[in-house]
Amino acid sequence: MIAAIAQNEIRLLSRNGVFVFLIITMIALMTGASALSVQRLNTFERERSAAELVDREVWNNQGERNPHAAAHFSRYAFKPIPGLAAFDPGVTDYAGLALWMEAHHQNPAVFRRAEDLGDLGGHSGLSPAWILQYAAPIFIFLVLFSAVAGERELGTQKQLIASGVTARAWLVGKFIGAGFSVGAIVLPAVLLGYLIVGNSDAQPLPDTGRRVAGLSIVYGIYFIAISAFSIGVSAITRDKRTAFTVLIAVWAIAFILVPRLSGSIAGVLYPTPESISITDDLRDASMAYYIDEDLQDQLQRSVLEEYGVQSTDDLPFDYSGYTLQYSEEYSHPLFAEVYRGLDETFVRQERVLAAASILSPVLALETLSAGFSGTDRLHHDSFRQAAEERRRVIVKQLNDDLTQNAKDGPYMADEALWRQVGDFEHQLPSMDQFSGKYAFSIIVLVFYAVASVLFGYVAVRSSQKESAA
Amino acid sequence: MTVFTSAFLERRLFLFASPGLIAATSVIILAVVAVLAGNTAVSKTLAAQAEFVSSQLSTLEQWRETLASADTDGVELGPYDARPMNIQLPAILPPAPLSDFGSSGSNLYPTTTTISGWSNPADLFAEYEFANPTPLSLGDLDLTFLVISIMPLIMVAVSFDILASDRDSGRTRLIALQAGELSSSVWQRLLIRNGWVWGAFCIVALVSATILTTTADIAERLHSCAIWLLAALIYGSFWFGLIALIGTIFRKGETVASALFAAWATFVLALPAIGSAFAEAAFPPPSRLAFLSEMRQGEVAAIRDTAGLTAGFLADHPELTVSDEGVPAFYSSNFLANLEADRRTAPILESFNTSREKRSELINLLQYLSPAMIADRALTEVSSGGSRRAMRFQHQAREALSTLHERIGPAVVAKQRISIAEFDEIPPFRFQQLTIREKLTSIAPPLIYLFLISAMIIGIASRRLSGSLENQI
Repeated sequence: MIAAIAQNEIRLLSRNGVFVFLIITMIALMTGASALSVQRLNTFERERSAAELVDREVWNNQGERNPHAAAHFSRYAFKPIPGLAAFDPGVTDYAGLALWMEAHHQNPAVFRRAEDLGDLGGHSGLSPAWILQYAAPIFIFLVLFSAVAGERELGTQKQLIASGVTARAWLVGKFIGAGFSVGAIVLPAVLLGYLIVGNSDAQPLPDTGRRVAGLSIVYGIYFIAISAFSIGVSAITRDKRTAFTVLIAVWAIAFILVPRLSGSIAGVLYPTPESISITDDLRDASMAYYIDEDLQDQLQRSVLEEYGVQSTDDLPFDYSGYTLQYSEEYSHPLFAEVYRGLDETFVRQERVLAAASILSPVLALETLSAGFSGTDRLHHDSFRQAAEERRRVIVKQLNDDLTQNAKDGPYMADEALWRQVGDFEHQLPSMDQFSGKYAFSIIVLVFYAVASVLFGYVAVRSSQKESAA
Repeated sequence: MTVFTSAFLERRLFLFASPGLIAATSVIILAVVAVLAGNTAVSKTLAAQAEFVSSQLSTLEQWRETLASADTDGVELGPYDARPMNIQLPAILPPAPLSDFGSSGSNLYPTTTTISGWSNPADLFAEYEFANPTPLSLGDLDLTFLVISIMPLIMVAVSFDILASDRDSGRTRLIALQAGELSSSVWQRLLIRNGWVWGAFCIVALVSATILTTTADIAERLHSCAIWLLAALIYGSFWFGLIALIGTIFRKGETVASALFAAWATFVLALPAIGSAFAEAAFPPPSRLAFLSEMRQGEVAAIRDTAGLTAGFLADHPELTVSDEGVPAFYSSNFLANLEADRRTAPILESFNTSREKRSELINLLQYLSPAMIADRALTEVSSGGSRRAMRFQHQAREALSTLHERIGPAVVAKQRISIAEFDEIPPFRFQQLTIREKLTSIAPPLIYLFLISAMIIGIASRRLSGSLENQI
């Protein structure tokens, strides 16, 4: 009986022109979005590789210079974009692509693509993830809003009950039919998308397989939640029109309004300090050694004492180079403190977004999707931290060279030293580094799926009982 | 059917029934939240800018006093004192008079910088990208977003079934019998329902423009608000016409709702997303990384060319490498090195900006794809000014930098100080924003186009409603 009901559902759907149109539209959208995303990502990768080469060349050819002056010119770290960004770009456009590894300054990543997109940049980007997150639920609603309400209006629900079909059989048949319809809309498009996205030139993540599996699972859970919820709404509303209106209202509120509202509330409750004040704090951290004369005296005394000499001229190395490196290291914890404060604000803002995901499951999905794709803030931060570690190595290398060689007067290093300074190489992080960071979003999504299935089950059963009565 | 009769009917069916009250309350709550969020952001920016300007001006005043003490009292100055290279002029982009109505990405751009002899146009705006990218990517809930995305949905929700439900209940027959026609009743009821929600919205917008003012120029804020509301209402009229037209095409309420929702999803979500993706693929923004590479090549060429000048000097650490007697030479050489970097990088910067402007002009044509894009651009232009205003600020700040270099250059190169009179003649930076007339010139053509489209749709709907009565009942 279940098979017969499911077959009937599938037959009815395949005859439904709207259903066929939705499948075609979904495939077209996913194909277009995937192709554009891959093109975009390949451009990113091309530009990054070219910029890295030029940076090396420029660095090697800067001529003879004081190594500390070279440390100020320094090098750039260019952010590698993971291949899965073609599926979900996450915050890629809103986070910087390059970071200047300059002496005395821990700079933020610069060059946010969103700034160059002009006023069109404010509109949602057409990515495969965006289509699955926002458009697919509408398509599912359009197919399933009449699943129960339609049968009730036509009177076929009563006929089925009268012919001895049990509530359980009817329910399971409905869910199988819904599963088929959702699968038919989503799967071809997703498979096509994966095929296209898999052909990007970008760097693969170390655990791409696991990440793709994770993406498939979270999107699967999401579609189960959306489908079960649609059937539930169709079952509890008195007619198709009401079911449609309720679903669209829920979509508008949960998918459009709440994400924006939560972003604004997060910004109001936990405002990011203005960039001027952060720049001031960083400058203070950078100058901390130089404005503290006591510290400078103390350092000089301790160094002279350590080497048993009376004057810095008697030291076996260049004292100015030594102080440059000392001041650099003195600033490290101060820079870390500024960025830690900033990170705490970001974490609080994201907690607001996480709390809002209770009202809007798409926020939980966005977090997980960008996380699995390696394009969220946490992954961006791993780049920032790696660049800072590299900056410290480069600056120390140059300051040490100055300290060792500038004792006998003005010293200029040359290409030999510049060539010794290695390139920035960032290994994209694996998901293990962030274990636990996504737990809440997973809980929210699973909760939504379980609650929606229960809701759908209870709603269909009660609809059956009402019809039977 | 008279307006009075329609109003009476709507009073019972909508205005003072739960749908009307829920719709108006939702609009008011959302608009108030949007206004408060926008206002908080603007106040925060204003406070930070005021602190920045005050700190910079205080330093500048100290600089001037030091110079004056030498000029008037004959005090002997230290080697680093009152050097023209150390003049630092604050430049800020104040929030636009109506920026709390729509931030629309303007929070991505720098709003402050310091103009000095140490800067060159390439590094004038650097290291401001501290914001959390996660909320940035979600966007803000502001009045512009409400108008573009939410108001059409509310309009659809309150009026999609005026004809369909009346047909189902047989009320259309009754009205047709009594009045002999249906058109005026439908239009009046559509006007009353949509006027109700737009009225609630406009009241909040007007009250906030008047009371929650963040600018000293109230007149400009109110002028801007009037234009902003006019643009919003033109956009609203498009949806008003579309709701009426689709209501006359389909008989079933759910079909009308589906068609209107599909139109909303197409115009508000799909076309802007597709247009944006197409624009990026067809007219890609100039590569910042390529720009950076060119700039670095230019800088390193300048470094090599001026190596003779700056040999032995560490720009950031004169105390380590410069004797007191060498300070004027230190400033002079660094200024010349900076000029060389400017000369080398200016064409690259110019080319990058030209390429960005050309792209901007091209993609502006894409707005004609969707009424939502036209309205978004117009509302953004009138409220925060969007990316165009931010680019204007950057351009003006670079001009101010050039002016400062011209004023202090001869003295720095000659290893001298400037006089108090010369200092006082250096113009402070003041952002010149577009006048309302200039903004109107920019947004009028697409808005007129949108108005004509709306009028055409309303005309077609009107003709259909005035046509065969049998078809409508």
